Amino acid sequence: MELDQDVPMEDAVELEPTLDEDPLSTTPSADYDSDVIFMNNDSANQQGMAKPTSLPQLSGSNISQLDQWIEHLSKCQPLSEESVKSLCKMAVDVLQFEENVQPVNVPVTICGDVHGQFHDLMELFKIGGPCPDTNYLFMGDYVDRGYYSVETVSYLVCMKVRYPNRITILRGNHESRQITQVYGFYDECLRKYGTSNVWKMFTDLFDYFPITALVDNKIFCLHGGLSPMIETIDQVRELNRIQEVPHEGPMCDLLWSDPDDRGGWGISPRGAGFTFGQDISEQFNHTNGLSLIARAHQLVMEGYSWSHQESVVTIFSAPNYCYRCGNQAAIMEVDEEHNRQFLQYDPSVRPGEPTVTRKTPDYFL
Amino acid sequence: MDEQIIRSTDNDALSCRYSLTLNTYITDPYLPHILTGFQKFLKYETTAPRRALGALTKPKLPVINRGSFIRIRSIDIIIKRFIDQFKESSKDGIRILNLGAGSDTRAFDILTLNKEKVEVIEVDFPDSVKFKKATILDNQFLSNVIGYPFDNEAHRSDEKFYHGLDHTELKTERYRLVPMDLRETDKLKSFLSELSVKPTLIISECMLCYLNTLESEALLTTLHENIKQGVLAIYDPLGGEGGFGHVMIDNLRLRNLPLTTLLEFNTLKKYHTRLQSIGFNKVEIDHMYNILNHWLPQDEIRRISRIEFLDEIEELKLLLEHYCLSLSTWGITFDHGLRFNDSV
Repeated sequence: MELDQDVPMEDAVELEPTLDEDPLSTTPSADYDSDVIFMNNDSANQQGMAKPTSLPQLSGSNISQLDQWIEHLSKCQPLSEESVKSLCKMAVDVLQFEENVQPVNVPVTICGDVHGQFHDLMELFKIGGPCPDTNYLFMGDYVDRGYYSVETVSYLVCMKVRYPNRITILRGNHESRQITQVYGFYDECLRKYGTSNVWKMFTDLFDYFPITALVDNKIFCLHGGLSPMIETIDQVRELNRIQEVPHEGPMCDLLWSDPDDRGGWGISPRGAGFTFGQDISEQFNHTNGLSLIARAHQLVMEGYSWSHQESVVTIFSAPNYCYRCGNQAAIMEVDEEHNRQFLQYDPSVRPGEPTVTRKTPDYFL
Repeated sequence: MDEQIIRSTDNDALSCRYSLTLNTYITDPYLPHILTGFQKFLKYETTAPRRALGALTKPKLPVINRGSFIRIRSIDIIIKRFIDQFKESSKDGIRILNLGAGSDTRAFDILTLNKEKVEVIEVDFPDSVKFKKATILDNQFLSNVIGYPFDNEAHRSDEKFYHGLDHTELKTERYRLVPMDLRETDKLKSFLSELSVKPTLIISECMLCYLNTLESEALLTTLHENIKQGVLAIYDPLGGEGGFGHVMIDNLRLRNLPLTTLLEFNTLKKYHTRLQSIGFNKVEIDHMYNILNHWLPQDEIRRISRIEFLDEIEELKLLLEHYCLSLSTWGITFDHGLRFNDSV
């Protein structure tokens, strides 16, 4: 489907992405540093014409730059502000051409919330196998709460740009300007970079993240859940996603809603999105020819949890969430035959990190 | 356990209360005065006063605010219902005994709202008592609240004033601030035996958990045997059966704060049995998540849920299920009308 990005919705006007200039209104490669140029020429898109059928190809120098960054980040060291700027520009070029319902092939390993727990993300790749040998689909919430949101989101975005066909990164409700100011990412950027520039670059980039994915036309993946305003997957394709997560409406619901034991639609205790019952999930799966809705968003103690008689699965990939909850994490492998296997794991042991400097999370004392 | 480490938990409680006032969950007209005392006298108590003050005013996440709110509110509700039931009906009035009160401001509120027939006794470590005493005596407002003559001349120099204070009890007609290590059961026993018999509400707010099994058993037995008409309200963490309790122990060990009974009395049932085995016949208990959902009127729930956005619904539930509130009653009948867990 054609995203009509030249006609933004009202919300998008207010919250227009300000990463440099609107990347759609200029020739992207024109203001790139010479060593970070994409080799494709997508000038056709600038007039709102046909989209390229394939993702932009990386130049050799881009690849080595990205590999350098990945190497640097894998030691849990943040990139420089300049590098983040280049990375985000490159990422916009990849992500803006992804669809609201990004198609993903099997086999793929589906992951839930990470929340800045960088060492546990490294553990995830150990458990699930390294990327790009394993295909990954992340369902959002990379930032906030953990101590390494900057490194975590930088790493995942680097991997996305480096291996665009091997990894899919969806948007979670925490990939938002508003939420990150309460839950830690903003403060972390300020602490690690001295200014909020990096926070701004990333939150502007988040607007481009796809909001759902469809694995082999059978598994519908998204961060939160269903929306009373969305009956078909095609209706998701109609949305203009390139904006801050709105406070209400279908895009908000997809990132905020939760399955519930009660049938029908319910008011969410979170104050955004809805709760939806088994009847709703079954109807949605039936209408859209799906076998499963995979989502994240909720802490589940075993790392994964079935609801609605296995029509919905919740996957949560931050073990011992917030360094306090004592939960396991999990990822879900889906193979070529659509067999599913859950891999559970515990928090990574962090060698060399003196435990005494670790910050104790708050308790009621 | 080191007294200083236990005392440090009072700073956590105070910073949670401070955050609640900042975010308009509660109003506490006494808290600014307590904080003034902190700013003035903390430097004589700790080698790193600036860090301690910084920690005190560190913003709290919504999940912590919500949990602190129900902790404070639930105990306030118990106090109010206790006063409502016994203040008029008891000829000699009533007593509220706060164990390990630390910087708690409740005493000031109770004394302001009840000009007679309510006596408040706060007990804590001698150093904590000295600190609070300094705060009160230095402050005309707080001195007036407890009914202590304020001496304007006494403290031209904060340092001289502070070091000139001793660790003895601060006592007025309706208020006592008593220095005592509650682990010294003999002292507690003789203190309690001198008190007149009247309906007494004992508050143990996140205090018992810092004692080991023997110490807590001795304390509870002493309370039970030496108070004739008692209601004991205990707020404590609950280890649970999953990973939460183990992580809590590991995390707090980093602060040298061992919670030796957390996994021993780790469920509502075991905590209940613990109290019954001391000899308390009537014990009611529930975890704080139920109390949050059952004790507050709907309009208040609506009010607090509007204050700030709470994304962490599951985390709040998990946290609050790992804290419990119990009421043990003996020698009197307390018709509190509050809902507790009926499956325990």
